[in-house]
Amino acid sequence: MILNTRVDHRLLHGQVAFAWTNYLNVNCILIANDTVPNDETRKNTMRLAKPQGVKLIMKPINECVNAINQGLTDKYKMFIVVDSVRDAYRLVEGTGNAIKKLTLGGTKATSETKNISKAVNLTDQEFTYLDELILKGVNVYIQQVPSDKKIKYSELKRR
Amino acid sequence: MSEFILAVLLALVAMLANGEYLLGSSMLSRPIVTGTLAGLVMGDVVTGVTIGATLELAFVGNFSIGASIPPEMISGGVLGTAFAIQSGTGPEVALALALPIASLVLVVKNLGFLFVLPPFVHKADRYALEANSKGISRMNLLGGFFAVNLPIGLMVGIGYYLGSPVIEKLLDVIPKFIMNGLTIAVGLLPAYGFALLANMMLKKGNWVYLLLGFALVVYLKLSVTGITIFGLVIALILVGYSSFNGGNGNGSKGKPVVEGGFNEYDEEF
Amino acid sequence: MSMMKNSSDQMEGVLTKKDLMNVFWRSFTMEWAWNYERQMNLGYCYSMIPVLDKLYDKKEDRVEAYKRHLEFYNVTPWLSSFPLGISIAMEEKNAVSKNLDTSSINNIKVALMGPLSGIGDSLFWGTLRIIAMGIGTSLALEGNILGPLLFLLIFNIPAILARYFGLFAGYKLGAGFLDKIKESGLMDKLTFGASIIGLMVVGAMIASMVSITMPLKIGSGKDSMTLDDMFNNIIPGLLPLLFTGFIYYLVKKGVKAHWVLLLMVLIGIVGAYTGILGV
Repeated sequence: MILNTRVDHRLLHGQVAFAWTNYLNVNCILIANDTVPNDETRKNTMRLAKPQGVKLIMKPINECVNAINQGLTDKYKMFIVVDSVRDAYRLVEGTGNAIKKLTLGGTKATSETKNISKAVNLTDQEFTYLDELILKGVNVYIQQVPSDKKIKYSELKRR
Repeated sequence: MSEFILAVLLALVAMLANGEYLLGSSMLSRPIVTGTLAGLVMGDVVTGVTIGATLELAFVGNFSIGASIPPEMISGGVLGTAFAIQSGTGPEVALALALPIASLVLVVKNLGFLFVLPPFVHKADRYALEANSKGISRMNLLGGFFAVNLPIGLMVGIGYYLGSPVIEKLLDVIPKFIMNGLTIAVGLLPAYGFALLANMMLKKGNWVYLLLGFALVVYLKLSVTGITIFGLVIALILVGYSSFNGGNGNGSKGKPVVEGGFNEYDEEF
Repeated sequence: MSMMKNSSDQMEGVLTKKDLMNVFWRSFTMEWAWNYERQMNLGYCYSMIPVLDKLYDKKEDRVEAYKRHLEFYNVTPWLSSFPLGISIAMEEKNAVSKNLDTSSINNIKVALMGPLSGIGDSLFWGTLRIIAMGIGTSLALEGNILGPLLFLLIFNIPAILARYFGLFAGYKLGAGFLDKIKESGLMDKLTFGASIIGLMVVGAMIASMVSITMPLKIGSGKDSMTLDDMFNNIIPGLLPLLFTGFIYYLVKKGVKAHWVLLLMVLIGIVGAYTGILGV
């Protein structure tokens, strides 16, 4: 069962690994990303952040979509981490209604992004993706760590 | 010493405390340090140390991880301690003042972050394009000073100078039971910090260690230092025991099975 | 990506120990100009500059190098020297052999940020600070100036050592070093051990630094005792333990800091007014 999906440009790191896996009581973290599976160094560093007792899987988006659709992820209490809104969108698109909750944790600020909250910066295209996800019935929140108050994306006006 | 000079000295203490970030993030900004230094300035180190310790317990959950910036505890610590000593009261007054002051100065700090610092960051980018490393270095050193260090110093100095007559009068008006109430709250407050820490550190099953530390103090009357050493010994024994028993501890060469019956390390669906 | 150097004293290649020490000292300013946009970027670049200026003579190379290290960065401050060491080794390799894909320099920095901070934050912010604070505060509460001094020493000595060894470990051993530690199980053991000590200290502090006094008497005459005595007869320090447990419950529920603190002030005032709680 997929407990939560998080968009965080740093993928697996301190806050994510410790705070969220404890809070959600997950036993499997899925890093859904097209470049990481081919980068052994990066995979090594993800392995470093992996909490004890939690399984780590790092696969390209397509394989993740297939695995979810085939029900291979049902046996886990799973936390998915992606590094972009686009990847989150691709996951939801491909898996229908397996992903119900999306948390925006942090995305980089660039000259094309607007800052909507603390560490979350989105491009126009990303706003469009998120709006579509809301229409598909996905709950989108902004929340850094579990003790933060959840901010609903749908209640934030584009600034 | 004149109030003006005290204000300047306290401002300098605050700037030194914030200077910890120039000095390897060495915890100079923590209340246990700022309280002591403020006490030194105000002519009563011992009270400063005690107040600093109390404030430290209150602010134990106050630290920044990642992108979260907590209330500005340097100004809270310095001014809280200074006002408490000046009015001849103690930790309860320092605490009552420190919390609102810290929240207020956080606003100023954030203004510094939003308006003063970014130009330095962007100027550094322009220096980079010109291959001007001295310029970049300057941006690092001046940016931190003007955006955060100086504003905090000014707030503390001005806060003391303007505030001390006001605080005296304020304290005279407050009824005794409220002061007592604050003193009681001072005793309760550390529980919050400890709860935060426990929240950060507690995982399945290791609450026993918390209980153990607690029990050793109440029954055997050990000091915190004693507990630390005990803890070290127990940790070494347990860690050594697990490698004696299970070979490599939990290296990735092992194949522990997670509850739910799957392999924790095979990285496959 | 192994950055093994041949001997441990002499740096192979262009850089000397003096160059690395330059970086070491500069790394102390890592958090000085921390900004919301790119966090430790100024501190990181500032630290790298002595090495970059020595390795690269051509303007274009320097420009690229400075830009590289002005990108977003955030890591536990006392461990920032480890990625610095790795960056230095990679920049040196790049300057000498010129066939390195420079994007990998930042890729590794980014990849390290997370896991290193995860371990670093809990070891330094969590355990080390708690131990220093526990010992320091217990002395300082009695007005002993040794308190703040010990606090600073207990924290900073290991922190500075970590900063020093981190730099050279990163430079000589590269990112593979962290992976080897993980594989040997040392990392897990370290975090496990640290959590034991940290939790014991927190438990000790709950017992000794949370004070609740209930002076109300129950019973009469010779058999009367205060509420305090009653609770302490069950378990000494029961009240602080229960109270902390209550606050822990609030924290888990996500109640924000200022509400909790306000609640405590309220409890204090009401307690003082009604005489249920005493100073």
